Amino acid sequence: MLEILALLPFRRALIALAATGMAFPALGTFILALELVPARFAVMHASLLGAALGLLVGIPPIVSALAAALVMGAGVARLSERTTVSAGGSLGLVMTLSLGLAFILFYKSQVNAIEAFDLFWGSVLALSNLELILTCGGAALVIVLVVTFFREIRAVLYDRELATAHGVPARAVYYGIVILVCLGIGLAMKVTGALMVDAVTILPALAARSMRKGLRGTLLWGALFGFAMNYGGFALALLLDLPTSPAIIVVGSAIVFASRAVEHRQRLS
Amino acid sequence: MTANATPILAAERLSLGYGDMMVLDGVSVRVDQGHGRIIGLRGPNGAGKSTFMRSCLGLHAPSSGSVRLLGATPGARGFGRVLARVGYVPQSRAPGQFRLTVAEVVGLGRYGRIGFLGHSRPADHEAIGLAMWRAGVEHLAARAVQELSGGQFQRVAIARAMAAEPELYMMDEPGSHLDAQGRAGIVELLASLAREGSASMLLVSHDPELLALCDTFIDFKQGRAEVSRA
Repeated sequence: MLEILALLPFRRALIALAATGMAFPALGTFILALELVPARFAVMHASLLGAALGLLVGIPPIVSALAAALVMGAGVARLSERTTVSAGGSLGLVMTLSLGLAFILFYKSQVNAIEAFDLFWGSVLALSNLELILTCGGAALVIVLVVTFFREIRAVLYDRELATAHGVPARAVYYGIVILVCLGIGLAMKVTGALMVDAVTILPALAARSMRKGLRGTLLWGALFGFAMNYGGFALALLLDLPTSPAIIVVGSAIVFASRAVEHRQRLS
Repeated sequence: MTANATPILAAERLSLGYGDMMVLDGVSVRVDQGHGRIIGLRGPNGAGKSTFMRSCLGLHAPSSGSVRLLGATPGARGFGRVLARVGYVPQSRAPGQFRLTVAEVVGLGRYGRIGFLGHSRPADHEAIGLAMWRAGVEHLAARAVQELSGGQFQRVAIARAMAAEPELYMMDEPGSHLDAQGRAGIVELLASLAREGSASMLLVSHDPELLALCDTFIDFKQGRAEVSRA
């Protein structure tokens, strides 16, 4: 097994999985706390459209996916300040339209089917240098921002209005969180695929939430679970010759179930 | 008691509403520091008491007119420094899904003192501990707020306001939705804050026992408001 470390694609994959596994569960915690679950789905689809556009015009898909995710992020932040109902409807429209347009682009530009599928389920073993640098840079940015603005983020996650009343620049912090989430989704696309971004965000955050800690504890547990899910999933994929992202999801789901069982036992005791 | 030059609050032809529905229409009131320490905001449901308080904090933008709290306009540059001098307890509501411990929530009240990107010092930890002790929630410090009863959660909200060591408390229905025992505890806690006299208090309430603590009132009725002494 150790001989695979001699191969550059495997080394890149392991670095990207470690970086996203430890940093991106924080984004999952934000998504759950701010109830951005429908919004993140729309961002995933917008990223897919962005990547399809990138393939069409010949620029790296991760760059165009990031651009689409950031534009979508700004839109989501503005939209979520309106009522939930209209925001939900608008997000549904954007999500469906993005997917439709992405498929039209795939069809018309005659994108190689394998390339298209890479966008859906990721291709962590085919990361380029640029993609690895962007992924690790994004992961480092998430960690730096969370550590720097920890108190502000905690206040906004708890209660935006109360945070404002205490003098926290809550609107700016909220926008920052949403845009950071979108950035992460755009970056995770190459690692896990557009439709399985939850593998590195939501699943470890769900498992960490079961540990019933405050924000600091939840983020640390999330990093631990994220790392374990990514490496566990990668190992499973190698052993059983499976695609990596679905294997990460299977391992991640098992860890979520196990963490729920631990939580249940703790409640009973 | 002599009137201080800076009023606690001053509204000038203030109109507040939700969409087309106006709650307050051209209200002008002024409460100076010398008017009294505990100012009750009273009136029927929907008269605009809570909206007025939220407007003073910059949480609800006026349709027209202006309001100033401790001499500053909500939302204006430097208003954050005013908010650091205020301890706000919003109308009772259930804590959200996001899990924070009691100590973390009470610590939020210290934000204005510590400041943006600041670090808490021993004095901040002492203030948080003292606020929890005075509010009777010290033993719950490590518990998640989602696991508290309504009365305990309301005490945590008041402890959060106390942790700010404010010069002005702004409390919106602090005793609502509580059973008799819980409400009595809150009344006693607020009475002790009033007796202490280190801070003024704006208090929205329908509760006769809480309103009995007040020495000045702002009466809200049919979109208008006026100040009276007890």
